[in-house]
Amino acid sequence: MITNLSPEEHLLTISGIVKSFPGTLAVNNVDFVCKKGEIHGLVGENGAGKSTLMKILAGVHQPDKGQILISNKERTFRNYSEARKAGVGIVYQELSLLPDLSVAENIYMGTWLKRGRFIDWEEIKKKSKIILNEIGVDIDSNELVSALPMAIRQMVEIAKVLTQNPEIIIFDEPTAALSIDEVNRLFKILKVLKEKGKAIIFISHRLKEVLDISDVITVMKDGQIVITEKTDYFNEDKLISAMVGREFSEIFPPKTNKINKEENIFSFQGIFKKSKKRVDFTLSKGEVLGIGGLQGQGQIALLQSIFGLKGCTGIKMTVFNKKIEVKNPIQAIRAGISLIPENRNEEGIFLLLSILQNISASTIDRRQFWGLIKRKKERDAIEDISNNLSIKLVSFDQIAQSLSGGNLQKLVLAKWLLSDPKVMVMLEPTKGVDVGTKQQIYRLIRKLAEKEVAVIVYTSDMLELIGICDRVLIMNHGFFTANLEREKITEENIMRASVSNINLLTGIK
Amino acid sequence: MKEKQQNIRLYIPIYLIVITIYIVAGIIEPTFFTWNNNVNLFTRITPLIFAGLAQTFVILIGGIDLSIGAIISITNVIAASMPYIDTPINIILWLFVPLLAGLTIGLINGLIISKGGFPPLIVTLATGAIWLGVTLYIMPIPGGSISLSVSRAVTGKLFKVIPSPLLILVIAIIICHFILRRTEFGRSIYALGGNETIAYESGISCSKVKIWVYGISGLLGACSGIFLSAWMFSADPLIGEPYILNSIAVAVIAGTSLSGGKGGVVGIIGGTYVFYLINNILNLLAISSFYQFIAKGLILILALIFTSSGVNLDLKEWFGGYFYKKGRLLKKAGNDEQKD
Repeated sequence: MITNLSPEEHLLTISGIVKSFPGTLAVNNVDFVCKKGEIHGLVGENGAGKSTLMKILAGVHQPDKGQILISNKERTFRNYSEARKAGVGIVYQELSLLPDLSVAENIYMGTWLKRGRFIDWEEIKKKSKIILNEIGVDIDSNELVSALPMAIRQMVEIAKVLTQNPEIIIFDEPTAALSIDEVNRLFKILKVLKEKGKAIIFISHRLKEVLDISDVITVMKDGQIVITEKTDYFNEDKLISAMVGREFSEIFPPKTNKINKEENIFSFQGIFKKSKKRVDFTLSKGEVLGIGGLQGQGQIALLQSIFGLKGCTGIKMTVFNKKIEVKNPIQAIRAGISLIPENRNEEGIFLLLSILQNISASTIDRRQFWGLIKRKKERDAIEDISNNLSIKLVSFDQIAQSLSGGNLQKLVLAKWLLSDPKVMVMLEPTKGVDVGTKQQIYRLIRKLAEKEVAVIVYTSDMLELIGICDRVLIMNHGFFTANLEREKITEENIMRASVSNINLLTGIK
Repeated sequence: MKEKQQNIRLYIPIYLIVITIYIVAGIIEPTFFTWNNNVNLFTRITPLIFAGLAQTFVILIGGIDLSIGAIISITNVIAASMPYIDTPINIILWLFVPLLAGLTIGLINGLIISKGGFPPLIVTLATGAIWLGVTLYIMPIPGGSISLSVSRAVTGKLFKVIPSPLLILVIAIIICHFILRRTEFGRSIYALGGNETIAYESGISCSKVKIWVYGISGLLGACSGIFLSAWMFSADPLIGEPYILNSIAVAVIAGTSLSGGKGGVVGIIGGTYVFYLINNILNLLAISSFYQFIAKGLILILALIFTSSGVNLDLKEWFGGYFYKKGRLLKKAGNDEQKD
């Protein structure tokens, strides 16, 4: 399976790496090789173990078992700076730049060049300029990072990694926030680095990009490597079936629900604050609506404003043709709106409180009498819902933090299902959960739609968008650029609409 | 049932420590075990227990109340300024006017903190200074008086056996515990302390809860002030000052985490006992007061280690074994929560 090269040619050899987190085996006995001057694509679903593997390589996590060889020398890294010294650089998907500092300061952050005991600013500025020129970026190194567009910030991030002159450079979803032009620019840089003989590991969810740029592609699934082959061997379909390991239709439940176009169950009108543009949409009975587009185009703020959080102004909403007024979450819950938040750990779960306290948090007022909690009723309700969702737990008084990612997400779902929503807004409902839980959540979404709940889903996972939504609205820079229905929901259509600046339907800017 | 067991297990260590210290004290000084000594001791720590209860509520929502000292002083002064001739109406005045004052001051704190969105540390530091000024204006030097029979009733013994302070405290703690565990309001307190954003997005009206929590703190502070007036038979405008930091210390020793959302009131008597008994023993041993200060500080740091770092005051964790390892692993799961 692995390209038959003699070991000497391998710059990086990873063998038998195992890493487990409580409840999940994130990386299971993985072998991986990468040679000089090679761009190695790494693909897989969310939670397949790609990021964990790369974090092990970069010293962020320590493996339970296994070996890392760099230039045939065994290495163990206790932290990132040790990995950096050994020649591993990682460009993260979340940018790690400090916006209020200058480009030069950011590039040499933590690895200051010194003259005597003092930082040598002249040298830092000069060297930053040289590195930026090398990758073809022409900006003033005195400029503040906050003044730069996203794409350029990514370049600065790359420059920061290059200062340590790494032999192995990991790109963890570098294209997630870039437009097509910007991606091409990034690819030029990758090719320059490749010619210099660096080994490049390129992680992306956009399969087309991986096919375009990589020399070799490795597919991961459930913590293991499925296949490693030269890029010529693959096409998009082959990649998808390797990633998923089963047919598309097996993961996503069939879209059998009847949609009654005549009957409106939810409508939203408002003006998006940042873009000052109208963002109106409606939902028909039985429909699952997806909001898609590149990350950070305002989808989350838009959907949060349904729940009474900031994002839009001049909001008018109707549920079952009844006008509702929602200015804060309390009113939202009363009006029958639920919101599954994006960041489970920061916005979804009281990590230090018990499971019972978590699940009943949004509905305590419904099971009380003069402020006293009806404890029997509460326990019954919680027992019911957690059995329905098959949450794995020891006791309801167990502290929430002790559950695994998938179970925590179910906990959030349980909390909000308990409030009997008429409108269910879900932000990234399957982020960081295992495949089994994912399927369960997909089935749940279908079931809700059949029960005539208005389900609105935002997800950055394109396959998910295609698999679960009856209709998809694509958002770019704070307004909708396309309205795709059933057969029209394809990867290509979504991508095209995601990067377009005009509404493809109406042609209006 | 399980919930109860868990809570009880959480409070066992603190009471084990109390018993140990108690026995040590008794061995050093046999008169320590006499009933009178114990009643005395208990009367002495009652005001601090009230202050600790007040602080516990505030700390549970992740706040802090530095005005508790001024609340104790001003209610103490108000109680001793009421007419002291024994009539039912006077007794009611003695009790309710300070209570109302404490509640009002607390509610004002809460209003400023929640509506203004200011840090509680600074707000209560400021209001504390203001109310201390007001107290000194009302009564610049110690003085005042209260009814003798009321004083006897509050600090004496019921049926000549049970110390009244103990009875009052047990009732107060049961009420507090009930509020925290069984009511919607109590649930909201833990939610707010656990994570304010999530609490808000769960439809809990955070500002209302905050205002009332500070209100309760004021009310319990007033209890402390009133009790002090009965015990001392007069008032002192500066009496509350030492309670500011001691109340925080006691709440933390009793197992409430300063980051909020974790802890309760059941350990409070134990926590206060530990805090006081150590000094008592050092006194009995005629050890100089510098060491007493050092001892206080060390106890506080130990308490912080047990509460803030996430280590539970759990017996099984203390004595190692299977549960310890499991607990640690589970804790790690939360920290390392992988993001793939």
